[in-house]
Amino acid sequence: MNTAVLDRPRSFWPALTRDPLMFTGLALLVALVGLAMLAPLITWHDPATLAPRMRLKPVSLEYLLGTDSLGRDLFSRVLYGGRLSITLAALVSVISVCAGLLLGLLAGYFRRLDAVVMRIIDGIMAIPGLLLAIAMVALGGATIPTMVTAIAIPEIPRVARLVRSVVLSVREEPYVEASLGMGTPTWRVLWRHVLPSTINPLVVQATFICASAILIEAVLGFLGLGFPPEIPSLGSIISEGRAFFQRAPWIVLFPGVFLALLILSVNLFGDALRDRLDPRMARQRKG
Amino acid sequence: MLNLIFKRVLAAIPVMLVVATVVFLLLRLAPGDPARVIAGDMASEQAVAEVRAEMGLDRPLPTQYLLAMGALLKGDLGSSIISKDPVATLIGQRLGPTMALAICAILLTICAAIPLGVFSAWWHKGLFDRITLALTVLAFSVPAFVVGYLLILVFSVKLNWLPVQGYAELASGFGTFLYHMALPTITLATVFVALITRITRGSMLEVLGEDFVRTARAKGVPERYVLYRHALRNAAVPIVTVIGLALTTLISGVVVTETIFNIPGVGRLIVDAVLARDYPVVQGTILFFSFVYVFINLAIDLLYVVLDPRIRY
Amino acid sequence: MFLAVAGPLAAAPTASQAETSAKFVMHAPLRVLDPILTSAYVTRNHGYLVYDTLFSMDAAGRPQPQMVESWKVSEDGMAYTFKLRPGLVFHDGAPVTADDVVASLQRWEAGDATIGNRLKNATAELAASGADTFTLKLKTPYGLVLESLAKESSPVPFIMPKRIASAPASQAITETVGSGPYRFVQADFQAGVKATYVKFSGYVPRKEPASAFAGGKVAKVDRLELVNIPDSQTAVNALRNGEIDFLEDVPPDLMPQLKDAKGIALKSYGKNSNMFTLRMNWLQAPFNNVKVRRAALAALYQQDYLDAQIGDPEVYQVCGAVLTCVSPYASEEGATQIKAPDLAHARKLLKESGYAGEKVVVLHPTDLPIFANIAPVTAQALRSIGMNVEIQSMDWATLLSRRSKKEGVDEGGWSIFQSNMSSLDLISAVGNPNLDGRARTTYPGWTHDEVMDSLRNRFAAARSEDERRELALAIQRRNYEQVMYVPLGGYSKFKGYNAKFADLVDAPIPLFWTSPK
Repeated sequence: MNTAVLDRPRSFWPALTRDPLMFTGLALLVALVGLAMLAPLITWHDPATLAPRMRLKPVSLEYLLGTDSLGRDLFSRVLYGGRLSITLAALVSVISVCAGLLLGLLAGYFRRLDAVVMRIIDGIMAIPGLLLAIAMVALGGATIPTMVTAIAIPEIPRVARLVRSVVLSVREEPYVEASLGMGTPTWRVLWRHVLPSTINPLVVQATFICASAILIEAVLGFLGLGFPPEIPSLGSIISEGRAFFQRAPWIVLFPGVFLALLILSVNLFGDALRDRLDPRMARQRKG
Repeated sequence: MLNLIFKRVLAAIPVMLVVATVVFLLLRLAPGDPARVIAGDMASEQAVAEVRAEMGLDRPLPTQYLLAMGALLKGDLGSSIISKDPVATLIGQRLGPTMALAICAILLTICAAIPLGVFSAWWHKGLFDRITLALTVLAFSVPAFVVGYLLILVFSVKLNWLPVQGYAELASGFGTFLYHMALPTITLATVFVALITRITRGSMLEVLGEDFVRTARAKGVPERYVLYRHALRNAAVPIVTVIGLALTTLISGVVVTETIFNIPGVGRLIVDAVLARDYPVVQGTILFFSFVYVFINLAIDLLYVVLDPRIRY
Repeated sequence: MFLAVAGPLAAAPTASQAETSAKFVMHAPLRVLDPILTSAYVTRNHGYLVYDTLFSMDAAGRPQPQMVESWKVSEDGMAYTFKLRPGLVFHDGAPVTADDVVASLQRWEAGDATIGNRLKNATAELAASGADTFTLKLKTPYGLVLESLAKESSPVPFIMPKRIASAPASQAITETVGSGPYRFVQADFQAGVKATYVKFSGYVPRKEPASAFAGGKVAKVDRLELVNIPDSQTAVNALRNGEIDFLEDVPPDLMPQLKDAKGIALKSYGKNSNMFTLRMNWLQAPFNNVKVRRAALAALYQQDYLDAQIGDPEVYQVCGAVLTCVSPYASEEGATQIKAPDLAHARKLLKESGYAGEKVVVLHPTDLPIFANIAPVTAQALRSIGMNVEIQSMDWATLLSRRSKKEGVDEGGWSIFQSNMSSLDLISAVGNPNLDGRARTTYPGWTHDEVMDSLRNRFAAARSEDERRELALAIQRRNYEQVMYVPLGGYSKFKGYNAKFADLVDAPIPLFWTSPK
């Protein structure tokens, strides 16, 4: 029998030290996020300054990760790129969770809205997320608001569905019925009884959305559809490095490894978080 | 049964309507002049005015909506600004390579992921299970373009076993076809294999814990039987569900893979179209892919009836 | 005709009946098939496969007859009579007539803003006088008639059937039918992906050996496939693996990978075959002020551009000549950018010019690796003297339409764009679009300068070498005085190909024929 069902959601901190995978994920995440967000303090070369005669130099003390084809320091570009990815991912996460929460609450609680909202959600889910993001960036240009919207919108349906299923099950609970019977206004019921049950799964979902957002932003940058090349972004650094892949593989490999580690640590963390916070979802999704 | 089928088909229609509406709104809510976007940057003022009249962009939104839906029903997905070909024709030309790639990836996934998932569940918490779990998380995290370039570096450049790019039709020989398709398939399937392995494992774990399995074991049914006939059969439903839902991930993956390996499929078509600011092609391709998704999920829904006699709506 | 067929057959006795084929990759995808409508190099290259021209430039830069058999010039140089070679036939079987020639030339003149336009303005009458003869009567002296008809750079005066050439120059042709050594296979064409050409058995090559664009043209293979590989590393790998046979443009950074590859040859198109150029928008602030232009010029340094984009000093050449360093009239006077800049001096010039911090928009193409690194260098150089620079990145196709906007930068305009031009386009004092000073010039930048205009007119009418040399020097000086455009350095473009194709004619652009045997 799957033991996860028997586990009660335990508190966070003791569990952290006992689970090596979660610990690794969190440690890695903290390290990478720390490095990236502290980029302006740690790096000593400006990520945008060109030095044509220092182009394609390998790793050295001066240039910790080497230089690219314009002589720009790869170490600062990768860190600044990571900073951009993380900031973007956080924004996307917050927006899609809030929007998804709202939609899910509406759909789960108000039966009349349910059918309509769910159809709209199914429709948006039918459009491949990357293609929708591509189309939005093609129309709106690659600015931060457009990119955030373009990456957030495909994530909203999943959040909404999740919230809706939680709401549906909570709605049947006796204490909710009692509360309604007593005349408590709807919003209060939602706030006090329904919302708390959604928090745990939402937190888990938010971490996965972060991972997904980081990936999609990188793919857009790689395809040449993301932020303009002046702004260092992990995907576009890799894309520029393609032409020099055999001559100077570090331009593709370092940002690639950083990107993979970043997404990996978010995924590990999210996995472990889910196992702790939401065993039911754990059982449903992956065991 | 027919009633069931009819109901499911009916349920798919609003979804397609929403897709078409979202795409319709995208163009009209975006900043800038929709007529100019459709006519192209190089078009003269007169050409832009013609497009505006044709698409009814100067008329109220509801009228535009009806015009757009009408065109869609006729199968008109618009025309490319650059080559003037109908988008439907362009997609038709490029569909072969994309389908070949997708089918190879799905086959690889089924052959690799299901056994991996089954045996992980079977040897739950054992070494095989732990390694598989670790590898799946890794596979989710490394982006396809990094995987692709690593594969090219190792297999094409250093070892020279496989080509760096290109696509060969099945007609030119099965061997040649596989030779070109090997690396792209692996690149595309990586994430998919990880996902399906996880789902299979989870699904199998659940089923293996069920009462009827314990009963079968108690009755002395051989393990192999338990595994295949009882467990897998029941686990199949969630697996097939996820394959359907994950189609969108597959489609997104196709775009990147075709770009890396220079495969002239529909994925490359959309990337080239965005870079060339050929919006009608972008729009038409999105509509096409979304409808494909809806149809396939519909087919899967109908497949449920075959797979699981317990399901009745 | 027998010679044309026997040539390749005799060269490969073992493959007597087998079809020879080749795959080649150009520097950009082929999307537009009309070589008059667009001056894109890739369409020009396509044109050379399927079309033929009246005259062609040989390796010494002299116009030689190609489709023309003989011609006569009147004493005063104001009337020309031409006779076509016998046996010229289009791919659809129809013979080439003088009517087709006249219609094609008229369409070309309408579509070519520099040389074609000049010829048109000098022409009193261009008409067919028989099935295979036509005449050209000038109204003003024009010493470059044959050079114009032999123009190698786009748009090239290709000859098409009259029914196709009757379309206005601003409207794309819908059929690709020419009289060149290869026939275009319309059914196989996928825009931006691939195109197929098959040897045209009805082509009658001239008897002389091939010399650049001139002489006899024998199709090298029976079947030529143009494929698009957007990633240059992938293309180089494909060449090494034998997946493709010819790569038009090998990036300098990747050349070391082909230097020692077996069976692969790496050859330059010639010293200074290409140049990077920078153009400012004369219609809008701040570059409508010549003092600001001179200040910007003072901040630029060719070495930075060449190091950033090319990297290998063996491959690039610092060159400040506005007519390129391979022109017989080359001079580097006034080209301050060939030496390290005196930034303090440049800042002083900028302050004195009255520059008030206006925004400078530099257009940056992202999808062409051959000059993706140029714009950032410009931005950094101008920022270092205190200009307010914004880089706007876009793909090349969008850039082309952006740069035709004359509005200010706040309405979607631009201040600077850079280009990578073939020396073919720059070497002619009359044809170089950057030096066009006419009032209604169409080349973006809209550099209106009457002094330059009169210098060029005098150059076109000049009849002696000394006169031309003097005028060329004056043109060089005037360019830098007014800063009409800034050469950012030259380099040798390299092609990579399977050694089997070593006998292809040597030319500044990819041409797929060999000399008659």
